[in-house]
Amino acid sequence: MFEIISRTGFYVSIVSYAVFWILDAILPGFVARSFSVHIFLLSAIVFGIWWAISVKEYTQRPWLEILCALVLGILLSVLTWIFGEGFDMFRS
Amino acid sequence: MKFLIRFVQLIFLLFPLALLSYLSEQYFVPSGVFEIQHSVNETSPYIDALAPSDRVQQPIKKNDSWSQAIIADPVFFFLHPHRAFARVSFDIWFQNETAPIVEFGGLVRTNPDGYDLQPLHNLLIDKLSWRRITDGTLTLFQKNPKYNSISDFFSNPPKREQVAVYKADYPVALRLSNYEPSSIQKTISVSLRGSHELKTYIKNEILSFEFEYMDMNRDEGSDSVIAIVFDENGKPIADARAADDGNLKRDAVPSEMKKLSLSVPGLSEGVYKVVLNAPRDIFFRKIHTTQNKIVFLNMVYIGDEIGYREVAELVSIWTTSERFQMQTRHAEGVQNVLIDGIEAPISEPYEMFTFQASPELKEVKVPKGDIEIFVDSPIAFAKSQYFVPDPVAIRPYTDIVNSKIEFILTTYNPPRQEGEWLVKTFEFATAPLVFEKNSWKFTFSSPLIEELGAKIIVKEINMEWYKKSRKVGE
Repeated sequence: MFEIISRTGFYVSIVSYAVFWILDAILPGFVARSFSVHIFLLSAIVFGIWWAISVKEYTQRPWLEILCALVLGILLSVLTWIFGEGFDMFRS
Repeated sequence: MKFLIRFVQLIFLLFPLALLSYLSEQYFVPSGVFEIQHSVNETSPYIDALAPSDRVQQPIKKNDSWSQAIIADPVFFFLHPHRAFARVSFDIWFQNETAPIVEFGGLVRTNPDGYDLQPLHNLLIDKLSWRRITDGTLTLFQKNPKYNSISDFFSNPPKREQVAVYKADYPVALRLSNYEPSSIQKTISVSLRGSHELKTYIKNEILSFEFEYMDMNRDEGSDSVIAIVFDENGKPIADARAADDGNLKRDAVPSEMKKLSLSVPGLSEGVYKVVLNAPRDIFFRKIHTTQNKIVFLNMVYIGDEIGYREVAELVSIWTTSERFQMQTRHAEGVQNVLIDGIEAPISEPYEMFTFQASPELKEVKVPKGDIEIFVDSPIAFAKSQYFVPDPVAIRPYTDIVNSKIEFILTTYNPPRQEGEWLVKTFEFATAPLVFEKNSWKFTFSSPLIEELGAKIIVKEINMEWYKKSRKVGE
């Protein structure tokens, strides 16, 4: 039972976080004026940990893991490059 | 068990949907009215705290409610609407026992800033025990009752000096019985910087002004000049315009002397207002006119003469103003002004100096330029040109009881009493308000508050923001 509840909580939190974050980006202040979208991130972490503790069977999906690592890796590289513009002089 | 799981899952799903519904209602305002209840101690994404902090005290809690004291002038705050609104309505909860006049309004123009100020509280009028007559939005106060209606008052008006106005127009036109027109051209040789307003009297003559001016190019951008003539009903009837000198840079290279001519024939007898709209780069050096009566309104900004002539000339002004506020923005503008022979030192730049004077017509000698002078009566640059085009205005320091004032005409309505608090409702159309950085700016104005050691205690600023504008007759 806990596995299903924590899994549902995790998916709802992560999807809500993405949806509300995008909505706030499209309509600035739509969410942020009344509610902190990061509460969904916090609940995703809490439900994620709970799900990880309560899971009984786990199926390895190596291709999915590689894909996630690749996408996140590229995304973080781009972000690091953008936010590191102040250190431009050290890049040559 | 399965039902319980499904129920919890449903709760999880419903929460973001309910949140989405609430946020949509907040953002799109389907009801057309967005309500904000704001206590002065709260933080809100829609309204900022009162500022600047040195003009207000910290909010304090007393009898389970928070309040904040305004102790200097002006105090302002910003509103941050999240979408387009046509009207803003305020309910301001406050207490005031010491500030004679408090006004509230929104920023409607910048450079220089201008506010649409409406009366919040007028203790001078509220304390009067005079008989009052109300007709529509107008109220007439009479020291010694003489009129039974406001229309009686307008059809058989008293002497002009007996009438004072506060936030009202006095529709009785001024007529100078001994006035004789002239065709002799006179020159006002004073450097006036930027926008000014003047009034003149016309009777069987052409309204004629020629402004000689220079574009000093000290600020970047275009510097056009517009002179607009308004009749006694406030209707624009003529204008004259001049474009920039072609130099948009801030290189401080002055233009050659330029001329703007304003000539309006065929005017009926009466008082006409000329509004000179010009940025601070424009220095009017000379005004040539055939008019006998010319007074400037509210303020004059006597400009420096750098790039015009070597030695600055003393400027004499004539006024009945009882209060002078003067400021210079440069060390070179520090000087001793003489008000009716009494020294009024402007001893340092960027400080507004205030001086009191007698209500008689008097000469004020200004040794050199670069000084802004704010007054409460008209200003003439020659004694013979002085006249009083408007009735007396009620100021925070007006001694109504011991003055010649016998009648007060006003649109002012006192605030309503709610327990120990006063509540005043205002409504502003948003179209005229300046909207900068997604914000509207509103201010509390009470000019003498600091000098009198007065306080205005504000408890709540509650608002309703309307998507639709008010219909005619609504």
